[in-house]
Amino acid sequence: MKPPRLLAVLVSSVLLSAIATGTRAESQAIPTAKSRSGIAKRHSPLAPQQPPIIFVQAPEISANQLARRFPQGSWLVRTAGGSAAQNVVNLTPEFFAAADPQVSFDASKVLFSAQPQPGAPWQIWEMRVDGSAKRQVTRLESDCLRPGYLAHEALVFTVVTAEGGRPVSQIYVASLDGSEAHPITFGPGNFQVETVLKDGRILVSAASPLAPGTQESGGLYVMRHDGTGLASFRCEHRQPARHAQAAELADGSIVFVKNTPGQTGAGGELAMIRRGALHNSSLSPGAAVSWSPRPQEGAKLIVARTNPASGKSKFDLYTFDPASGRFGEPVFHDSKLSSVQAAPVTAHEVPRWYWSTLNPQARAGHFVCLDAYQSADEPTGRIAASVARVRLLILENGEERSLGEAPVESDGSFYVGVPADKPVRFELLNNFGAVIRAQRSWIWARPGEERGCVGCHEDKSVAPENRWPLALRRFDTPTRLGVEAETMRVAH
Amino acid sequence: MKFNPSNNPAKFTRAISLALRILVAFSFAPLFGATPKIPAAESEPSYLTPLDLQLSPDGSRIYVVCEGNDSLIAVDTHTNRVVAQVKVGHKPKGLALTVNGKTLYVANEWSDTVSEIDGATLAVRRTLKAGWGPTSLVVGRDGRYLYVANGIGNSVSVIDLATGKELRRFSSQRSPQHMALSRDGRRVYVSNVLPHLRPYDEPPISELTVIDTQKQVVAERILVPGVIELREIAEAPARQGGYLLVPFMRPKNLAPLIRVEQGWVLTHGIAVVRPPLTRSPVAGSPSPQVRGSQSSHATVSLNPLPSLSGRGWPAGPGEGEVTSARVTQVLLDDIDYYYADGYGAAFTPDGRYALITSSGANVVQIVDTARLAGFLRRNPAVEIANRLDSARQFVIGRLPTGADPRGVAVSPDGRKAYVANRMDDSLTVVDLARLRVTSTIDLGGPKEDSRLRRGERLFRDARYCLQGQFSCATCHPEQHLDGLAWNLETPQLGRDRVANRTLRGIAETAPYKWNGHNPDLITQCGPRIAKFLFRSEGFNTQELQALVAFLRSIPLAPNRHLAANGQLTDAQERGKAVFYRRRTNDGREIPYQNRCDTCHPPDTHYTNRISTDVGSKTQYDTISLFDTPQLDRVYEDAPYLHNGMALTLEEIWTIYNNYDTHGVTSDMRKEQLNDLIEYLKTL
Repeated sequence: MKPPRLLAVLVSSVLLSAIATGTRAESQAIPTAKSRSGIAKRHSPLAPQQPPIIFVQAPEISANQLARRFPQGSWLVRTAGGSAAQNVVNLTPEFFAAADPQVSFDASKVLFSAQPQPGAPWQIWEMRVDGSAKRQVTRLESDCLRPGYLAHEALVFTVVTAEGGRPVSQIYVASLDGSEAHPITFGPGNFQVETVLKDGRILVSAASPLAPGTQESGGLYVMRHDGTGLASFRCEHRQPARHAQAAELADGSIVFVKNTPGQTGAGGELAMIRRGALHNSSLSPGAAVSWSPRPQEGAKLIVARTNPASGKSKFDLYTFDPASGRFGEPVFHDSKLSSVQAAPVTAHEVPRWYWSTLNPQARAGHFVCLDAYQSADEPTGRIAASVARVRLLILENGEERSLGEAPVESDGSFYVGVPADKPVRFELLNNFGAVIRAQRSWIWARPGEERGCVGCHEDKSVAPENRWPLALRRFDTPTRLGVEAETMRVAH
Repeated sequence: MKFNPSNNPAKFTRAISLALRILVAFSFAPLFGATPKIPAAESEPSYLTPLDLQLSPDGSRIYVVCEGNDSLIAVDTHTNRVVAQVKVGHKPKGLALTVNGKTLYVANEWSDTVSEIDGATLAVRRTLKAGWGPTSLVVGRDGRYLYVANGIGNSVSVIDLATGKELRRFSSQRSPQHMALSRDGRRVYVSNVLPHLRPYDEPPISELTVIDTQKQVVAERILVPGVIELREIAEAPARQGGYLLVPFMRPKNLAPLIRVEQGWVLTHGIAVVRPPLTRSPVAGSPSPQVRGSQSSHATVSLNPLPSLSGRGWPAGPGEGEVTSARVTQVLLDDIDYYYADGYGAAFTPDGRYALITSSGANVVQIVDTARLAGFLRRNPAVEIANRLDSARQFVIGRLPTGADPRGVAVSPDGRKAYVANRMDDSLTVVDLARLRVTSTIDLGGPKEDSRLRRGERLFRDARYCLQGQFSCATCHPEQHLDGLAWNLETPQLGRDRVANRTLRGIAETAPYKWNGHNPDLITQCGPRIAKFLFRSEGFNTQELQALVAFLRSIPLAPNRHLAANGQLTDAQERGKAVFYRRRTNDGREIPYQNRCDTCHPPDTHYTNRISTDVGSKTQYDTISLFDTPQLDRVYEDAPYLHNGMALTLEEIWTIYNNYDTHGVTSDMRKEQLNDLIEYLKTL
């Protein structure tokens, strides 16, 4: 961290601590949106039974990188809920910018990311839903954004650093008091937290394909809070697009915003992967540009969308019914400010937790592939060519190099040990050593992780056949590539 | 003859290990308690535990079999109230009605009897003797014969209802639990919960046994590859081809259990069993009706069996012959969402819907049969058995039920369906016009859940596993075993495959696991289960205690090989002498550590609770010491040895004891081994 930035962090931390203390003491004296922005009452037709919402107001929303989404600042506001027209209360007047509100499971608190002043790093904060009792959760030198509550008093968030002048983001997990912050992603990909699924897995977005010379798009992935089990969520790349802004509905469907390459400006097309479906389907009617769909009570959403008729790129909040594919009445709109990232202040289900199977002392992780021939890219679902070996490539210091090769059995299985927490990718080779298929993204194995793969690029809706993989019948596997034999494996 | 360790390392290791472990066991006995005491019996309310149900022909009554309090209950469908109840035999499981509904039959699993009951008065008229462990039954259309599936006997009894005597007995496969009579009365279908006994490193094959009621023979043994736990059988109306739907579980026991997502461990679905393609009497080609239905679809070349419609089931060719009944498997799970433990199955009278209960997921699934038929026409059968995106194309609803939904029955007018909620003592009522649950019928059981009851709920609830994929009961059907060897995560993947073990009568048999590493059930079922099996959060402390209390309460079934008075047969007596013998046939003394009763002492359920090397280690095992299994009801526990490689008790010694490392048996005559096994079955 550069000294000026460090100084800014220190000053802002002290200042904000004082403000937070003051807020706790004078919780009634919360300034309104008007006092901060000078904007008058705005329409909010939330029905009486609807809970209040907390959302982001901003003069400008940019499609820029994560830490620069609100170039003119932003703040969290809260509606009172219920009444037909009302003021909104500014919950974060202390900050230059605030965003990404996440309501706690019991609806008493809000996690959010905030930037005390322009140029200062974003950090994760928590406050009561009335804006009181603010406390800083993370204290990293880098930008910390997009938090999500995990079970067992933990949180997941996105950390953005600059590498070679370009922002690079990874996912971190920490205790809710901010301690024990550690990364759980280890590859290039600009991983960003999308949401925490009810089954406890973390839905993230990441750029892919990633290998040199390929066009970049972005997809959704799932992983566990210990960084294991990273897997493409449906692996949809029928058309290049960035999938982000994802949220889970009550029935388990995933709604997200899809940006096609070349699309400028914030927001995009609203799309949905319905529960149990393999592919997404478009939801956006008309020419509206959508952003930050969030689940509302029942099966509906609150979506920030532009008004195509206005010709402006300003977002207002609307209800949206995924069943009918139609926007409802506006939830909140302001004549000048954009309103995005609405979070209903309601209690919701605590996601599941997992026991980690990692072995911190291990230096290696393992990949077991049951059938490398499976390929969603092939009309038959299988690679026709004969696969003889698999080559493992590792990325270190920006350079890609081969770690070695391992045999692929006739049933398509292979079993390799690799250095833990290092980005690796696979290439399938034929008998002559020619590359048949090459992985276009980077993955990793965590220390002691036994990573099972149905195939290398299989259809995610296909469960494996029941057979004893030939690679596991051999007595010389796992083939260790770049690692020594270890005896610290966890037995159960 | 001197013992030379280098000649028989397994024997040497076993001897040393036994000596050391006995020493350790005795040394620490005061600390850990050599013989754990069974907790004082918990005072258990008399729960009903409804399992099977059927409606009277006029739809005015639902008859419900309650295995918990040994009763049959009649519910008035107009008032939804219990109107009559009668005690039957012990652990009733199945129910059958005559065509006119005037007589009911209940299979009493632990009494080995069938209760014949007057449908009007609910009075027990007579009690008929059945085979071992009757679990399900059907009455022939003419009312002359009763067909009874004997779950322990692995057979089907045919009982002449005029005399009440068993006429004949057919062999089924393992653990037949469910039966159905075809709509034309010509066939009895029997589903078997456990798969064929096969090599432990091959996928399972299950069987649907078909009995020809006219010829009184086994007409077909329909093989359903890759699945276990075939459950209730529903037959579609004849105009839809009379195909069968049978819920199943599709295990992946051969791959290491290192994740659960994407159906890695198992999936749940239904077998669609269609009649064989019948040959025309003239040309020997498939019947025109079937052929016509195929030709209208583009996938004919890929799928020769695309249609659910057809002529129906022909008469079987003869006993035991495997025929070409067409079996297609489809999953009822969705990507990321699983519906564990399929159990009940029923069609609406018009065949529009099929209802499948998922007892681990607490739902009843509604299958739109027209959509299912369309799906099967469009997709090659061989490619859909593992697809997790199929169900959403034909499952049009999943309705919440009570806990542990089992049997399902549809009213004769097709307007309502009723589901027996085994752990809730209630029935869920489904309005089939609106496809909604409209009410719940309280059958009158105790209102409070005891600790054991809570434990059993947990045992049967799949929500504790990631994505609801499986419950404890999934791999321990009937609190027993699934007949498979699994490759649990071990220090070395692909190694140490271990056979599933029964949960019956295990309270005093610690330690647990084949490697004997888990000293108690709390250890066995706590974080270990959550971490390596469920891959999810698992049970909290209170839940774990309740679950363990339930596990410790699971009783052994009555011993069918032992006379009621405990008197042994001559063969059993001879076998007992072999079990306790001290000398070989030629007079050599059998070393202490190699006597049957050393490792299988009678006062501790025939296990010394010490891991021993009996020479069963294979090249795929990393250890040679395995927990000594208890021998109570050992005849129910096949396959045997740590990895299930011995398919029968005989094979333990005839194939896997070449060096007398598992007791001294090489000197035995065949008759002696037979006698020994006869005795073991009495334990």
